[in-house]
Amino acid sequence: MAPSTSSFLNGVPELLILRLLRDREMYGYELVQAIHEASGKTLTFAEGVIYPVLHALERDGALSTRRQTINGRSRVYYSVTQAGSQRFETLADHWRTLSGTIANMLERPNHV
Amino acid sequence: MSDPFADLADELLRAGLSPRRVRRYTRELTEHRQDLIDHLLAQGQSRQAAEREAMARLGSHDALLLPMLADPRFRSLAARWPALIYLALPLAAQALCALCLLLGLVAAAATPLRTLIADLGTGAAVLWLIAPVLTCWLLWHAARTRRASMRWPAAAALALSALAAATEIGVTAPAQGIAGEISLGVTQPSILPFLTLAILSLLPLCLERTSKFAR
Repeated sequence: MAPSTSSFLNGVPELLILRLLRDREMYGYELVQAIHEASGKTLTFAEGVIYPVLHALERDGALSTRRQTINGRSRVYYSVTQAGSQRFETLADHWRTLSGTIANMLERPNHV
Repeated sequence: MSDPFADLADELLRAGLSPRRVRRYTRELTEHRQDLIDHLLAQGQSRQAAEREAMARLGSHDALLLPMLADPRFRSLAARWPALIYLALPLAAQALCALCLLLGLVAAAATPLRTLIADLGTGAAVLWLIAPVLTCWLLWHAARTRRASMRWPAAAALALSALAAATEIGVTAPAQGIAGEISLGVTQPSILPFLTLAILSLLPLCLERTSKFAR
Protein backbone atom coordinates (compact mmCIF):
# COMPACT_ATOMS: atom_id res chain seq x y z
CA MET A 1 0.00 0.00 0.00
CA ALA A 2 1.46 3.41 -0.99
CA PRO A 3 1.92 5.85 1.91
CA SER A 4 -0.52 8.77 2.00
CA THR A 5 0.61 12.07 0.49
CA SER A 6 -1.55 14.08 2.86
CA SER A 7 1.05 14.28 5.66
CA PHE A 8 2.32 17.81 6.11
CA LEU A 9 5.92 17.53 4.97
CA ASN A 10 6.30 13.82 4.30
CA GLY A 11 7.04 12.78 0.79
CA VAL A 12 9.82 15.34 0.14
CA PRO A 13 12.69 12.78 0.08
CA GLU A 14 10.63 10.50 -2.17
CA LEU A 15 9.82 13.45 -4.46
CA LEU A 16 13.49 14.39 -4.90
CA ILE A 17 14.60 10.79 -5.40
CA LEU A 18 11.93 10.04 -7.99
CA ARG A 19 12.70 13.29 -9.83
CA LEU A 20 16.41 12.51 -10.11
CA LEU A 21 15.95 8.83 -10.97
CA ARG A 22 13.53 9.79 -13.74
CA ASP A 23 16.53 11.14 -15.68
CA ARG A 24 18.70 8.02 -15.30
CA GLU A 25 19.24 5.00 -13.07
CA MET A 26 21.68 5.47 -10.20
CA TYR A 27 23.06 3.63 -7.21
CA GLY A 28 22.82 5.05 -3.69
CA TYR A 29 26.10 6.96 -3.46
CA GLU A 30 25.58 8.43 -6.96
CA LEU A 31 22.06 9.53 -5.99
CA VAL A 32 23.30 11.30 -2.86
CA GLN A 33 25.93 13.15 -4.93
CA ALA A 34 23.21 14.11 -7.43
CA ILE A 35 21.02 15.52 -4.61
CA HIS A 36 23.97 17.57 -3.28
CA GLU A 37 24.73 18.89 -6.78
CA ALA A 38 21.13 19.63 -7.78
CA SER A 39 20.47 21.47 -4.51
CA GLY A 40 23.70 23.48 -4.68
CA LYS A 41 24.77 21.67 -1.49
CA THR A 42 21.97 23.33 0.49
CA LEU A 43 20.36 19.96 1.24
CA THR A 44 22.48 17.95 3.67
CA PHE A 45 21.41 14.82 5.49
CA ALA A 46 22.78 11.57 6.92
CA GLU A 47 23.62 9.82 3.65
CA GLY A 48 22.86 6.30 4.88
CA VAL A 49 19.17 7.12 5.37
CA ILE A 50 18.71 7.24 1.60
CA TYR A 51 18.58 3.45 1.60
CA PRO A 52 15.46 2.98 3.78
CA VAL A 53 13.67 5.46 1.48
CA LEU A 54 14.86 3.60 -1.64
CA HIS A 55 13.83 0.24 -0.17
CA ALA A 56 10.38 1.58 0.74
CA LEU A 57 9.88 3.00 -2.78
CA GLU A 58 10.92 -0.32 -4.26
CA ARG A 59 8.51 -2.09 -1.94
CA ASP A 60 5.74 0.22 -3.19
CA GLY A 61 6.57 -0.67 -6.79
CA ALA A 62 7.79 2.86 -7.58
CA LEU A 63 11.36 1.68 -8.23
CA SER A 64 12.98 -1.35 -9.76
CA THR A 65 16.53 -2.53 -9.12
CA ARG A 66 19.33 -4.41 -10.80
CA ARG A 67 22.62 -5.52 -9.37
CA GLN A 68 25.88 -5.00 -11.21
CA THR A 69 29.45 -5.82 -10.19
CA ILE A 70 32.08 -3.42 -11.54
CA ASN A 71 35.77 -3.84 -10.63
CA GLY A 72 34.80 -6.12 -7.76
CA ARG A 73 32.37 -3.55 -6.34
CA SER A 74 28.73 -4.58 -6.12
CA ARG A 75 26.21 -1.87 -7.01
CA VAL A 76 22.44 -1.87 -6.78
CA TYR A 77 21.07 0.44 -9.47
CA TYR A 78 17.62 1.99 -8.94
CA SER A 79 15.31 3.14 -11.73
CA VAL A 80 11.77 4.52 -11.81
CA THR A 81 8.86 2.33 -12.88
CA GLN A 82 5.62 3.51 -14.48
CA ALA A 83 3.98 3.42 -11.05
CA GLY A 84 6.89 5.50 -9.79
CA SER A 85 6.33 8.11 -12.50
CA GLN A 86 2.68 8.39 -11.50
CA ARG A 87 3.68 8.61 -7.85
CA PHE A 88 6.12 11.42 -8.76
CA GLU A 89 3.36 13.39 -10.54
CA THR A 90 1.09 13.04 -7.50
CA LEU A 91 3.81 14.10 -5.07
CA ALA A 92 4.88 17.02 -7.31
CA ASP A 93 1.29 18.31 -7.56
CA HIS A 94 0.89 18.02 -3.81
CA TRP A 95 4.17 19.88 -3.24
CA ARG A 96 3.24 22.69 -5.66
CA THR A 97 -0.11 23.17 -3.89
CA LEU A 98 1.57 23.08 -0.49
CA SER A 99 4.38 25.48 -1.37
CA GLY A 100 1.89 27.89 -2.99
CA THR A 101 -0.27 27.82 0.14
CA ILE A 102 2.70 28.44 2.43
CA ALA A 103 3.95 31.29 0.20
CA ASN A 104 0.47 32.92 0.39
CA MET A 105 0.36 32.52 4.16
CA LEU A 106 3.78 34.16 4.52
CA GLU A 107 2.65 37.12 2.39
CA ARG A 108 -0.79 37.59 3.77
CA PRO A 109 -1.91 35.27 6.54
CA ASN A 110 -5.71 35.03 6.24
CA HIS A 111 -6.79 34.92 9.85
CA VAL A 112 -8.75 37.17 12.17
CA MET B 1 38.95 -5.66 9.76
CA SER B 2 35.83 -5.59 11.96
CA ASP B 3 32.49 -4.92 10.29
CA PRO B 4 31.39 -1.39 11.26
CA PHE B 5 27.76 -2.36 10.67
CA ALA B 6 27.73 -5.66 12.61
CA ASP B 7 25.93 -4.15 15.62
CA LEU B 8 23.41 -2.44 13.34
CA ALA B 9 22.74 -5.75 11.54
CA ASP B 10 22.29 -7.55 14.84
CA GLU B 11 19.76 -4.98 16.11
CA LEU B 12 17.81 -5.06 12.86
CA LEU B 13 17.62 -8.86 12.97
CA ARG B 14 16.45 -8.79 16.60
CA ALA B 15 13.77 -6.28 15.58
CA GLY B 16 12.43 -8.84 13.11
CA LEU B 17 13.77 -7.67 9.77
CA SER B 18 14.49 -10.51 7.36
CA PRO B 19 18.15 -11.59 7.03
CA ARG B 20 17.97 -10.90 3.29
CA ARG B 21 16.78 -7.30 3.86
CA VAL B 22 19.46 -6.72 6.53
CA ARG B 23 22.22 -8.18 4.33
CA ARG B 24 21.25 -5.94 1.43
CA TYR B 25 21.05 -2.81 3.62
CA THR B 26 24.43 -3.38 5.30
CA ARG B 27 26.03 -4.30 1.96
CA GLU B 28 24.79 -1.02 0.44
CA LEU B 29 26.01 0.93 3.48
CA THR B 30 29.41 -0.80 3.24
CA GLU B 31 29.77 0.07 -0.45
CA HIS B 32 28.61 3.64 0.20
CA ARG B 33 31.16 3.98 3.02
CA GLN B 34 33.91 2.70 0.73
CA ASP B 35 32.91 5.19 -1.99
CA LEU B 36 33.09 8.01 0.57
CA ILE B 37 36.50 6.85 1.80
CA ASP B 38 37.84 6.66 -1.77
CA HIS B 39 36.53 10.18 -2.46
CA LEU B 40 38.07 11.62 0.74
CA LEU B 41 41.40 9.86 0.13
CA ALA B 42 41.45 11.36 -3.39
CA GLN B 43 40.99 14.77 -1.75
CA GLY B 44 44.18 14.16 0.24
CA GLN B 45 42.85 13.10 3.62
CA SER B 46 44.61 10.44 5.67
CA ARG B 47 43.11 6.95 5.85
CA GLN B 48 42.03 7.35 9.47
CA ALA B 49 40.45 10.77 8.92
CA ALA B 50 38.68 9.53 5.76
CA GLU B 51 37.19 6.55 7.60
CA ARG B 52 36.06 8.77 10.47
CA GLU B 53 34.45 11.33 8.21
CA ALA B 54 32.82 8.65 6.03
CA MET B 55 31.08 7.13 9.07
CA ALA B 56 30.02 10.60 10.27
CA ARG B 57 28.54 11.43 6.86
CA LEU B 58 26.67 8.13 6.65
CA GLY B 59 24.89 8.95 9.88
CA SER B 60 24.74 7.92 13.50
CA HIS B 61 23.75 4.41 14.59
CA ASP B 62 20.21 5.59 15.43
CA ALA B 63 19.88 7.57 12.17
CA LEU B 64 20.61 4.35 10.25
CA LEU B 65 18.55 2.10 12.53
CA LEU B 66 15.29 3.94 13.17
CA PRO B 67 14.04 4.48 9.57
CA MET B 68 14.35 0.73 8.95
CA LEU B 69 12.45 -0.05 12.14
CA ALA B 70 9.76 2.53 11.32
CA ASP B 71 8.50 0.67 8.25
CA PRO B 72 6.55 -2.43 9.36
CA ARG B 73 6.70 -3.82 5.82
CA PHE B 74 10.39 -4.60 6.31
CA ARG B 75 9.60 -7.13 9.04
CA SER B 76 9.82 -10.74 7.94
CA LEU B 77 6.83 -13.12 7.88
CA ALA B 78 8.44 -15.09 10.70
CA ALA B 79 8.61 -11.95 12.86
CA ARG B 80 5.01 -10.94 12.13
CA TRP B 81 3.46 -14.39 12.53
CA PRO B 82 5.89 -16.55 14.55
CA ALA B 83 3.21 -19.01 15.69
CA LEU B 84 2.24 -19.67 12.08
CA ILE B 85 5.77 -20.01 10.71
CA TYR B 86 7.41 -21.87 13.60
CA LEU B 87 4.53 -24.00 14.87
CA ALA B 88 1.43 -24.27 12.67
CA LEU B 89 3.21 -24.78 9.33
CA PRO B 90 5.63 -27.43 10.68
CA LEU B 91 2.69 -29.30 12.24
CA ALA B 92 0.83 -29.15 8.93
CA ALA B 93 3.97 -30.35 7.13
CA GLN B 94 4.29 -33.24 9.56
CA ALA B 95 0.66 -34.24 8.93
CA LEU B 96 1.29 -34.00 5.18
CA CYS B 97 4.38 -36.20 5.65
CA ALA B 98 2.21 -38.87 7.27
CA LEU B 99 -0.22 -38.71 4.39
CA CYS B 100 2.59 -38.96 1.80
CA LEU B 101 4.18 -41.94 3.58
CA LEU B 102 0.81 -43.69 3.75
CA LEU B 103 0.01 -43.04 0.09
CA GLY B 104 3.55 -44.13 -0.86
CA LEU B 105 3.08 -47.44 0.92
CA VAL B 106 -0.34 -47.98 -0.65
CA ALA B 107 1.12 -47.24 -4.09
CA ALA B 108 4.07 -49.59 -3.45
CA ALA B 109 1.67 -52.37 -2.46
CA ALA B 110 0.18 -52.27 -5.96
CA THR B 111 3.56 -52.76 -7.64
CA PRO B 112 6.23 -55.50 -7.62
CA LEU B 113 7.60 -53.70 -4.52
CA ARG B 114 4.83 -55.38 -2.50
CA THR B 115 7.24 -58.20 -1.68
CA LEU B 116 9.28 -55.65 0.28
CA ILE B 117 6.28 -53.99 1.89
CA ALA B 118 7.28 -54.90 5.46
CA ASP B 119 10.74 -53.34 4.98
CA LEU B 120 9.20 -50.30 3.31
CA GLY B 121 6.87 -49.98 6.28
CA THR B 122 9.82 -50.06 8.67
CA GLY B 123 11.58 -47.43 6.56
CA ALA B 124 8.45 -45.24 6.61
CA ALA B 125 8.19 -45.57 10.40
CA VAL B 126 11.85 -44.53 10.80
CA LEU B 127 11.36 -41.56 8.45
CA TRP B 128 8.30 -40.59 10.44
CA LEU B 129 10.40 -40.40 13.59
CA ILE B 130 13.38 -38.65 11.99
CA ALA B 131 11.29 -36.00 10.21
CA PRO B 132 10.26 -33.98 13.29
CA VAL B 133 13.85 -33.95 14.61
CA LEU B 134 15.22 -32.63 11.31
CA THR B 135 12.35 -30.13 11.07
CA CYS B 136 13.13 -28.80 14.56
CA TRP B 137 16.82 -28.43 13.75
CA LEU B 138 15.86 -26.40 10.64
CA LEU B 139 13.51 -24.25 12.74
CA TRP B 140 16.25 -23.67 15.31
CA HIS B 141 18.67 -22.63 12.54
CA ALA B 142 16.07 -20.27 11.00
CA ALA B 143 15.29 -18.67 14.38
CA ARG B 144 18.99 -18.35 15.24
CA THR B 145 19.76 -16.69 11.88
CA ARG B 146 16.95 -14.22 12.58
CA ARG B 147 17.98 -13.69 16.24
CA ALA B 148 14.39 -14.66 17.04
CA SER B 149 13.08 -15.94 20.33
CA MET B 150 13.42 -19.73 20.72
CA ARG B 151 10.00 -19.93 22.39
CA TRP B 152 8.10 -20.96 19.25
CA PRO B 153 10.74 -23.41 17.93
CA ALA B 154 10.79 -25.03 21.39
CA ALA B 155 6.98 -25.30 21.33
CA ALA B 156 7.21 -26.84 17.85
CA ALA B 157 9.78 -29.37 19.12
CA LEU B 158 7.37 -30.54 21.84
CA ALA B 159 4.32 -30.53 19.54
CA LEU B 160 6.03 -32.38 16.69
CA SER B 161 7.56 -34.91 19.10
CA ALA B 162 4.14 -35.54 20.66
CA LEU B 163 2.55 -35.98 17.22
CA ALA B 164 5.28 -38.38 16.08
CA ALA B 165 5.10 -40.38 19.32
CA ALA B 166 1.31 -40.56 19.15
CA THR B 167 1.15 -41.72 15.52
CA GLU B 168 2.00 -45.18 14.35
CA ILE B 169 2.45 -46.30 10.75
CA GLY B 170 1.85 -50.02 10.65
CA VAL B 171 2.43 -52.49 7.83
CA THR B 172 1.45 -56.13 7.93
CA ALA B 173 2.73 -58.13 4.99
CA PRO B 174 0.21 -60.46 3.34
CA ALA B 175 0.48 -64.08 4.37
CA GLN B 176 -1.03 -67.20 2.86
CA GLY B 177 -4.75 -66.58 2.64
CA ILE B 178 -4.55 -63.42 4.75
CA ALA B 179 -4.53 -59.94 3.19
CA GLY B 180 -1.86 -57.51 4.23
CA GLU B 181 -2.64 -54.26 6.00
CA ILE B 182 -1.35 -50.70 5.92
CA SER B 183 -2.53 -48.59 8.82
CA LEU B 184 -2.10 -45.16 10.39
CA GLY B 185 -3.11 -44.99 14.03
CA VAL B 186 -3.20 -42.13 16.52
CA THR B 187 -3.05 -42.94 20.23
CA GLN B 188 -1.88 -41.28 23.41
CA PRO B 189 1.85 -40.55 22.98
CA SER B 190 4.13 -43.01 24.71
CA ILE B 191 6.42 -41.31 27.23
CA LEU B 192 9.75 -42.82 26.17
CA PRO B 193 9.47 -42.11 22.41
CA PHE B 194 8.12 -38.63 23.16
CA LEU B 195 10.99 -37.78 25.52
CA THR B 196 13.59 -39.24 23.15
CA LEU B 197 12.27 -37.24 20.20
CA ALA B 198 11.89 -34.07 22.28
CA ILE B 199 15.46 -34.28 23.59
CA LEU B 200 16.86 -34.90 20.11
CA SER B 201 14.77 -32.05 18.68
CA LEU B 202 15.88 -29.63 21.41
CA LEU B 203 19.52 -30.75 21.25
CA PRO B 204 20.88 -27.76 19.25
CA LEU B 205 19.13 -25.34 21.60
CA CYS B 206 20.48 -27.13 24.69
CA LEU B 207 24.03 -27.26 23.28
CA GLU B 208 23.92 -23.56 22.46
CA ARG B 209 22.71 -22.67 25.96
CA THR B 210 25.39 -24.90 27.51
CA SER B 211 28.18 -23.31 25.46
CA LYS B 212 26.92 -19.80 26.44
CA PHE B 213 27.08 -20.75 30.13
CA ALA B 214 30.54 -22.23 29.70
CA ARG B 215 31.97 -18.92 28.26
